[in-house]
Amino acid sequence: MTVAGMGTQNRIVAGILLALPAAYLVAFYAYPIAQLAYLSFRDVEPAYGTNDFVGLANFREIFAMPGGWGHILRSFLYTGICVSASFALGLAFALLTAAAEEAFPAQVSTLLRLIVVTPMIFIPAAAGVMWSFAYTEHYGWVNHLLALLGLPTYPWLVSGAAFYLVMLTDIWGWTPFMYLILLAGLQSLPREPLEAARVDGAGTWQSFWQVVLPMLRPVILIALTIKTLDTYRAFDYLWIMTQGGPGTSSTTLTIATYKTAFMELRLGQASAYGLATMIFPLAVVNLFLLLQQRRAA
Amino acid sequence: MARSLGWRLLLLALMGLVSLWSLFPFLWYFLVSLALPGSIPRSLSLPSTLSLRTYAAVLLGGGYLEAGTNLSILPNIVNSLKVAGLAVGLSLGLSVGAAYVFSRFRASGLRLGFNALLVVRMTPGVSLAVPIFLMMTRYRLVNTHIGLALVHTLLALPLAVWLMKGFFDTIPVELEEAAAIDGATLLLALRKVILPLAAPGLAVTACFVFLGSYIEYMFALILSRGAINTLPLAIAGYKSEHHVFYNEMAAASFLSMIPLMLFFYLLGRYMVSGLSFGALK
Repeated sequence: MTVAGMGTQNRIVAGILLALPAAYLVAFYAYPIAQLAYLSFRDVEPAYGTNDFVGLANFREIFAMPGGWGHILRSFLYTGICVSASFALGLAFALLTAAAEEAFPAQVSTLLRLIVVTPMIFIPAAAGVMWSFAYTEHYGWVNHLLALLGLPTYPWLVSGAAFYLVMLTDIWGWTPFMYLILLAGLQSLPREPLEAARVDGAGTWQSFWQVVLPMLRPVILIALTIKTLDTYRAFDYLWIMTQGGPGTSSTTLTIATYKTAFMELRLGQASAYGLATMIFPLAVVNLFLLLQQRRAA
Repeated sequence: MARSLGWRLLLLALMGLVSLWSLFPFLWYFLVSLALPGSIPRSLSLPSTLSLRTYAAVLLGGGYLEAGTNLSILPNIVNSLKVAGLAVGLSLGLSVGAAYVFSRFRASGLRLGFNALLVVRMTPGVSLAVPIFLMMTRYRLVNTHIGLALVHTLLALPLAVWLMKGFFDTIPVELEEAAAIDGATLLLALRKVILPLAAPGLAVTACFVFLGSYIEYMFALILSRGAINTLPLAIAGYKSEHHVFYNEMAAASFLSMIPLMLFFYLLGRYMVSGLSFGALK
């Protein structure tokens, strides 16, 4: 469908309408990316007044050192665990809501929806400080609960468990995202195939695996892709709860980039980290576009 | 299909577990926000006094104040509103025309532009942090509302274009054709016919951009030197190396929920479309 005629005049107007955002993106996206690439080959440390070409030295610090690989691996560990857990929980909660819709009056499932979504209504920064507070040794409910059970208390966010506790916060905070998308997907499924499966004598479990899940596949794919890329670049919870610590035990690529830039003020090295951080999401986006193109062809 | 009592009880039990997972973490924080400023129970129990004093202190300042420390979040609310307002204006202004073109025109170049938006959206913000910080420093935009709003616009632009394209797609093209027959130019038809019809869609988009800016933390952290501390910075800032104000932090956290609650209440049905960038309707 196109505007009738599509005269030259209309094309010019369309060009002008596009030029504005295009100019903005060149200034605030393309130019910064070019500068990022330029800086990643340099040693730029304002504190020492250095600004020298160093070739691949910055990338060597990332890809030739165990420390750098540690950041990379932690990025994927964080993403893998958070995405799969919030997906599993989101799907379970969505199925529960669908079941509640059938078994109870509408108000019950509406209330359930509201309850499940609540963590998402909290600003992530606020959720970060709330969970940090929960783990503090003398004031948090986690340790109060442990004390009540006669177990030892501990400032958990400076322990080896810190990274996983941040993941727990991430899972708690973003399960509603998965839930909302999957629930919408479930509710938009056609009724007939399910009815047919029931008539054919399929049990609840069987019809879930053989009918519901396959029909839900496109929705699941979209939800997982978006969530994976968003989780991979997670910053708020990690920075607020542990700042990448203790030591570097919760330092992902995102945190490493930020720390190197704004704590250590090594801008060249930080640019190399920034560039390395982009590789994975860009690969995913290109794969996605490629698949889309092939399907269209 | 008849559902047995046992099935319903099982569902209720599971719903109880879900509620525990979702809501229990708030409970302690909420109690702390209701305790008197400076008092936190040292065991799992109700605070000795429940009051709204902390909320009053957080909103109005005053009350329990340490010398030289202003605990009010009013200036931060103002900062958040300014930055988010500017971001909404910039994002919509920049993207409404592009969204219209993406909806009405077909050309291979447009496909490319659309894909470019996907790349922008999926680029980790932290990757852009160094060059954007340098740029903002050079143009003296660090610690200014407009500087932060310009960055929030970058984060919002792809979503804004996608959402608005979706809304334009629902408006029949015959309207412009009729306008064209009556002699209206494309711009005139856009202004007088299409935009009024798309107004609800623009409002929904504006809300998404607003909230995106409202909750953004990292660039606010990088670009604020105190003069533009937004709400997320203020909430996280109640804790520093020198002091911790947990009660105020909790109260401010719950107050900051209000716009998001309103949003869910009024626009919940657009949520899925926004979260999935228009991929799901």
